[in-house]
Amino acid sequence: MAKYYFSTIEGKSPRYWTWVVLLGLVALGWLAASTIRFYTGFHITGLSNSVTWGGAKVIFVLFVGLSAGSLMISGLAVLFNQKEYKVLSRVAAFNAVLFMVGALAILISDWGRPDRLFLPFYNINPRSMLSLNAFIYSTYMTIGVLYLWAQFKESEKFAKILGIAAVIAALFVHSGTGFIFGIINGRDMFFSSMTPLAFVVAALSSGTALAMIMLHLTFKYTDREIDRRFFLNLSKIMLGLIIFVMYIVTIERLTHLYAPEFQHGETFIMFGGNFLNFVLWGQVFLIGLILPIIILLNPGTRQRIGWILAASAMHVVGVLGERILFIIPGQVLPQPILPGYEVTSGFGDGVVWPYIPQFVEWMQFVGIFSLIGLVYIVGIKVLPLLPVEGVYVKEAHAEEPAEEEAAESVGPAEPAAEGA
Amino acid sequence: MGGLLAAVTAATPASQLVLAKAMGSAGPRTKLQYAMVVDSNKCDGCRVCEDACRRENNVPLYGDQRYDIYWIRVAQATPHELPGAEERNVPLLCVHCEDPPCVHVCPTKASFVRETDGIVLIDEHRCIGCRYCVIACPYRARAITFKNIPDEMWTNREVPKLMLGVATKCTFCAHRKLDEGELPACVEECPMNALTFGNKNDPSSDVAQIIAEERVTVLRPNLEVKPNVFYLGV
Ligand code: SF4
Ligand code: SF4
Repeated sequence: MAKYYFSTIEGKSPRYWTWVVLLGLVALGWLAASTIRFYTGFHITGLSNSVTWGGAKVIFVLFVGLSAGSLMISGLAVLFNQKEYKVLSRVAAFNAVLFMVGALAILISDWGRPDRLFLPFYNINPRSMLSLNAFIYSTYMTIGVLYLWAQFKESEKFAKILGIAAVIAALFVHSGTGFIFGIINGRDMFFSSMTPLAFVVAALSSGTALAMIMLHLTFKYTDREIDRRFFLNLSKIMLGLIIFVMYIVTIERLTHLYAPEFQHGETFIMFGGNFLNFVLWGQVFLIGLILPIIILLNPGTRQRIGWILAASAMHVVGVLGERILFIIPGQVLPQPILPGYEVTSGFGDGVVWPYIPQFVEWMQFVGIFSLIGLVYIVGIKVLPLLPVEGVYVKEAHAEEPAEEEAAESVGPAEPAAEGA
Repeated sequence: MGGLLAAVTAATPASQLVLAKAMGSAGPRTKLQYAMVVDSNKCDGCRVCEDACRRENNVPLYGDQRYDIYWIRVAQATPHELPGAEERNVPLLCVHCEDPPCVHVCPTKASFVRETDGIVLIDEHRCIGCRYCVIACPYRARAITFKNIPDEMWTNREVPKLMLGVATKCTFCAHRKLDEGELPACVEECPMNALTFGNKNDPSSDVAQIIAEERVTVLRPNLEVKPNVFYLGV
């Protein structure tokens, strides 16, 4: 049986510490911006009483997707005993917890009263998706942490059981988050049963993409080796997922275009001559879906790690765009309070309300990404998340003896690395 | 005890109200449900109601349309694709749904329907400012207090200032003695008598009579949220 040896990274170089300090400073910006926003109020953001959920919600949803996507990849690798993907089972599980923490951090800092953090836990409203999600998210986090712990303990049995639990919990998290928006029947652009499904698939594809990017970067910076076949295989899975995402996105848009009640909103997003058109055609379709598909299909590029990583990055950007289209248009477009009438009022009825994130919000956005980066690089220093060597193991049975040797030869490296 | 109470209360509707309130019991909503009828034919768009509401409930007008708060606003509505059609004035406010989406989505139960009279209220001390209700309300009736309210905007000291960062909306002036016949500020001050307020389930009330006799409509009836603000002439 082949086995990966995991170890912490050394993390002593000046380059490492520069990164820690840099990321730490920007992450502090998130804290500062959130505090300022809390004490001064929302008027310093770009939000309005029409667009009350802005960029923070978009990032929240993106992070939840990345988290649950990572966890599913990790869990499925453990469940189906996919040896070659065990390279990433720990990192992906860690990422899952990490991104969920990030998601909750940005969510709560976006509340008007983050100081009332625990209120939802003792005033449960079973009809509220957000109320249920408080429990789904905390259960999910607990399972994620236990699952990671089982992997540290090298306990195959626990890892398997918790892996199953984790995948199920991740599914709940996806659907629960999708439903936050999907159940809003008063807003045409939100009400949809497709939302949770679109969510799961886009989360899986972007989770895979993210895992590849993060693994590649860390292996490169820590001078460890990783087998390129690992990326080649994963990229094939990602290609399938991206095609599926494209299918769902297209179907949903077309359905909307067909029904007269949605038509107005849909044409606005597609050809309204506004920022959302760029998000839809440029960010989602071109950058997020079509280009990655071409890269991953084209024989000249699909074998090259650099191209695969570029496709992954583009896809994550595209999924961010898809999340924007989830959240923003439903609020920017006027609600049909008086159908059949042209409406104006002091409260901004009947107008398309723009949303432009302001400086505090940008500080929050950039800060939360830095926080994720910071916890990640600190995480791989204090926890044995990364394999010493990401060597690809093809067929475990045929080459068993040889692998055992290889494993043994890797073995001694472990204490050395950990002691470093 | 219960029987006696029922006998007494059945005899006098007003006492029932008082009792139900005093006991804080979940009085049957079939007995008391405040409602409003907005007659858009009478409204001339003077916006006195907006002002009355501001003065009564300290609803701030900061001078930035992005976060100005309106508990009631008068919208100008012109029918689509009907050249020459007359513009009408339609006061819009929280319609105090009997099946309110805002209450269903609230994660903390800060939004609730007051059992005694069916008014939808917000507990400002419980709201976390997540704004889910603002998203869910089909009538744009809700707003968030974006900015601290300076003291000079605190016009009515008997009503607390709106709290920063939490949701806010029309309360039908729930702080007034509605059960003793007091009216919401907007209804009281409307010079055209375009607003009528009362107990929908009391057949002798003005609202009940208008609802029974005239062709009232509700906004967005397809959503089936059972609004308690009815419209004439829309
Ligand atoms: S109109 Fe809006 S705020 Fe008022 S009860 Fe209905 S959903 Fe809630
Ligand atoms: S903003 Fe306040 S009242 Fe509205 S849903 Fe959130 S907690 Fe409830």
